[in-house]
Amino acid sequence: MNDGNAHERAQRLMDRDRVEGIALEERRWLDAHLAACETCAAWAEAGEAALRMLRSVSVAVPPGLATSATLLVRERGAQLRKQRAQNLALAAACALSWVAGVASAPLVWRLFAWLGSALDLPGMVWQLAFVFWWFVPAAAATLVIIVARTRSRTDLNMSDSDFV
Amino acid sequence: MEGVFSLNALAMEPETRALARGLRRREPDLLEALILRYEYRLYRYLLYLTGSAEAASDLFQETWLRVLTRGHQYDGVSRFEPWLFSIARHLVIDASRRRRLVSFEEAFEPAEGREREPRAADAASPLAEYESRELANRLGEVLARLPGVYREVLLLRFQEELTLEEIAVVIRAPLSTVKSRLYRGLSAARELMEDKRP
Repeated sequence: MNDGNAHERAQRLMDRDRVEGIALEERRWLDAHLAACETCAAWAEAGEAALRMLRSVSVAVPPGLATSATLLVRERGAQLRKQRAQNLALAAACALSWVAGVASAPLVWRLFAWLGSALDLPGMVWQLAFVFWWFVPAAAATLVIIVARTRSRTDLNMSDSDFV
Repeated sequence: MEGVFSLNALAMEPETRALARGLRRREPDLLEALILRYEYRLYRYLLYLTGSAEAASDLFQETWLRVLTRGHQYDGVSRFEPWLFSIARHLVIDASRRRRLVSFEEAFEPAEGREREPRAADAASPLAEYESRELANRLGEVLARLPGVYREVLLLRFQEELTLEEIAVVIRAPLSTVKSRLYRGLSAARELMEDKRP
């Protein structure tokens, strides 16, 4: 192996050693080469110096960083828990409303039919009125969810900007 | 302290699984313990990545809010650190799209905050302190001049000591890409160090 190839091999091995590790035989060859070659030894030292710096240098953490993050996370966590409880209550109310709606549908259908005939309304009118009655709880629940989400999003954004 | 979540209390089961369960439940004490535990490492990572102390502080808080809301996505099988750094990295990318992250040097200004994990040499002598400052400045300059794709893999590998596979998870790239970026990053850093040699 000529000198140029040996230097290239040494530098490849140095990098591979740092990234993936090298075999014992390759390490022996590298150690022997570094002992004999000043240029490669200097390269090795420069690389080690860079890594030593990266590991050893300390940075200044702003005072109160963890405390403010903890407060922020706790506040947001409390808001999320409250929101979840509200969503669960709403879901339970929707489910209850749906069950009651299904159970009472035949009765209400007959009531609308009777009203339609009593008021002499066309069939389409009282049937549409029945459909509208059927969708009122779902529409109301959707409206409540949208309003609640909008309000909660506004609250969260405000609390973030207050903190930072 | 009563009611304070202790990571040691969960020593009976794999810590990652306990972490995943606690994150799913959004346990405030667990999150507080994690914030304290990773304060230095996460802040340092963000600082080196953004080059701005102010941006790093903002992103630190955003990262923990994201951990709170996305905690259920942590699988409890792999280590927590890569998942945490992955969240932080995505926030850095989002932030860099919104604004330019500059002023790398201010990150190494110790007057603004407290020193964490001080080395023994820090208290030894004014000379040691001066050398430490010089070292930090040189490192800051070298890192600032490295392209971001190389800087991040070097930080994850040699500062955060993640495995190659974990780095691949954090940067969402194939293992071969991680390796090639590491090799190129090492080579670029070495050349820059040579330039900076006094």
